[in-house]
This record gives sequence, structure tokens and C-alpha cells, in this order.
Amino acid sequence: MRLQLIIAGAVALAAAEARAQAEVEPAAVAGVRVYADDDHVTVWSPSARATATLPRGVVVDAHVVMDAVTAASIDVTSSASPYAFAERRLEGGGGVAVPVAAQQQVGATVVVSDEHDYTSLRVGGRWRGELARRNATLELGYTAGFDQVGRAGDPTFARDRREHRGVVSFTQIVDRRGYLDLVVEGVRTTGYQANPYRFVPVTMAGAVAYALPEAVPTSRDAVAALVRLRRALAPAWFAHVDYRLARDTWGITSHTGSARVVRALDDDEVLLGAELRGYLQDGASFHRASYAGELGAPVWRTRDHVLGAMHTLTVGATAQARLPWRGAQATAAAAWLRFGWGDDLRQRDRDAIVSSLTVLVPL
Amino acid sequence: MKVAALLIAGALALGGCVRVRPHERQTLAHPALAQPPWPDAQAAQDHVYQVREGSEGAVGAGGGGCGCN
Repeated sequence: MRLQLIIAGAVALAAAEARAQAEVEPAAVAGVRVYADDDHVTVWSPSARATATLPRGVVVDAHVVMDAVTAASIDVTSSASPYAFAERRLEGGGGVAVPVAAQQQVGATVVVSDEHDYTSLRVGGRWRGELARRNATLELGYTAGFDQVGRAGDPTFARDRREHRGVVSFTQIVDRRGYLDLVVEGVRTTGYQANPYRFVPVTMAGAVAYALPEAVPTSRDAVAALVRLRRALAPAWFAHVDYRLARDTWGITSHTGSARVVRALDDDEVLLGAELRGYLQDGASFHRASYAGELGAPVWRTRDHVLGAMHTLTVGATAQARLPWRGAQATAAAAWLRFGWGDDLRQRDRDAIVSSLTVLVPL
Repeated sequence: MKVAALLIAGALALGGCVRVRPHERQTLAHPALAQPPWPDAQAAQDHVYQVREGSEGAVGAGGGGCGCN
């Protein structure tokens, strides 16, 4: 029986009851998240979403979020403009999930994002099934992305970017107190993937001789695999630990590890959580601290320190409480992030705070 | 890719190893064991990682694309 399932490649896993309940509970959620760092970048993101259950168990959802960005980052002032800039991104989307058979569900999502120099469309579908008397869950998903990259002040600049993303998620109940999750995701990205505002200085005899537009390969394949254990440690203590390995054809390899502890109080009306996350990354094969032009202009060149060797440390805390109004629930979270870049000549590290506040009202 | 394939095959082999009956799942149904326990707060952080780090994937961070770099 087990071998048949493996050969068939279509194993249905039992969905976690808590997760299933959270996903289908009709509710409206409103919130705001804020990102601020010591490089003078601030992003305010108000958002709203709603989930409703229709006849025959069909679940529909919709969301909208806006990013209001103000930035005078060294990335901006040294490459594109000596001045700070402000811009807005608006995103909206919806989804539907339909039961198609006993313990099987299919779903579809559409997400559209627009800013003055970037437009994005994501269309996706997924299948979820349960197996082994609902002790395991398998989910298969695919998303196609269609982006167009523009450049402010240059109406003739328009570049396409395409993305194909596939994901396999597996959840297994390991005993009465815990779950094991395995997630594997692959992404193929083609088209324009540089930044139209970035110019890369090229040196000759140790001095900057000229600058060229950023240029990176037009194809990138990436795969990431994550394993996670979620477990109740004691009647009111819970822990999540996970590890992720990611690699791509640009030469980037990364390792991510995180641990979260959750404490339930007041008969589960209040949840308090603390999180620690570490991220370590090698640089892309073509990333350099500086580019020398003695042997000719470099074909691939970038000033994006996200593509260099880097690390991130996150320390966060979350509090969730039931409100005395219509069964509403409020969640407040804050996290301190430190980014570090090993070979960036302009900036070695950056501190950021990400915070959010949301209120969920059952419908 | 080989590691990913091994993980998938191993996971599929695990399926069915354990049987927890519905009446034994009270602890498993606790909201603190949901993944993630607070999806909106987690989505905020995941979006930052997606923009500020060179790798992504396998964490459920959906949403639209952006010219955020």
C-alpha cells in the first residue's frame, strides 16, 4: 500500500484540524504593518482581507494591501537620485477553494500588484488531499507570474519578467502532540531581473572610470526545501523549529534556521510568542565588491547587495488576545532584524524593525 | 534537487506510519500549533525577507511581485 502511494506520486495527507479551521473560518481582518530601518527607508502597509464560506463548502477570500514607501537609502541616493523618494504599491487579490471529493480540495488565486514603475500578475492553482485517515496532508501548488518592469521618467522602458513556481507541501501527524512539515518549492524566473535605476561603477587602475547599467542573467532557477517540527511541549507551551536549504543557478546557497516558542494563557484566550531566526547566504557567482575593467566591461554586473554574501538575524515577539467584542481577536507583533553584508563597500549592516497590528472579526 | 527528491520520497514513505484517532487530537487542534500561528504577522516578515534576502521559497509567502529592490 505504501509503495503504491509513492509510485502514484499523489499522496493525500490529513490536514491539521487547527489549520483547516483557521483557513475556512469566515472572517474580516484589518491591519497595518510598518517597516523602518536605519537607512531611512519606511514602509507603511495598511491591509484588509475577508473570507467567507458559500454553500457546498466553497470558501472565497479577497485581500487588498497598500505599501507606502519613503526612502533615502544609500541604495537610492548613490544610484538613482540624490534625493529621497516616495511611492505607493497597491495589491489586490482573491481566491476560491472548492471541495471536489472526500478529503480533497482544489483552489485558485489571482493577485495583481501595481506601482508606478512595476506591474505584477500572479495566477495560481492548488490541490490538497488527505491520506491515512487524515493523519497526513499533501498539497500541490503552481503559480505563474507575469511582471512588467518600467522606469520612472522613461515611458519607452518596458521589460518583461516571467516566473513559474511549483510547491509540494506534506504534513504528517507524528503523535498526539506534534506535526512534521516538509515543503519543497522550485522557481524558474526568466526575463529582465536587474534594477533599471542601478548603475555599476567599473574601475581602471584602481579608480572609477565609467559606469554601466546593472546587468544580470536573464534566467534563474531556484529550489528550496524546508523541514519543520511543531510540537506541544507541555499543556500550555508549544514550539516550532525549522530549517531551510535553498540554492539557485546564480550560485547563491542559503541556510535558514528558526525557532519559535508559544505560551498559552487565560484558558487559551491569550497567546504569547517569541521567535529567533538566523539566515546565512553565499553570494552570486557574478557578484563583486567592485568590478575592474582592464580586461573589458564585465558581462554580468550588479550593485545589489542582496546578491552578495549576507546574513540576517531576527528576534521577534507576538501577542494575540481575544477581544470582548463579537469574538474578535487582535494580534500585535514586532521584530528586530539585523542585515549584514560581507563585501559591500558602501554599507556593512542595517537594522530594521517590522511591526504589525491586525484585528480579526468573525463573520 | 536530489535532496529535495529524497525529502519528498521520505515524506511519502512516512505517510501512514502514525494513526492518531480524531478523539485524540485535542492538543493538535490548538491554535498555537497552526502553521503559522499568526498568518498576518508572519506575512509581514516574510515579505521583508523576500525583498531583502537573496533566497526565497518553501515558506508560504505568496502575494504579488514588486519592484522593491
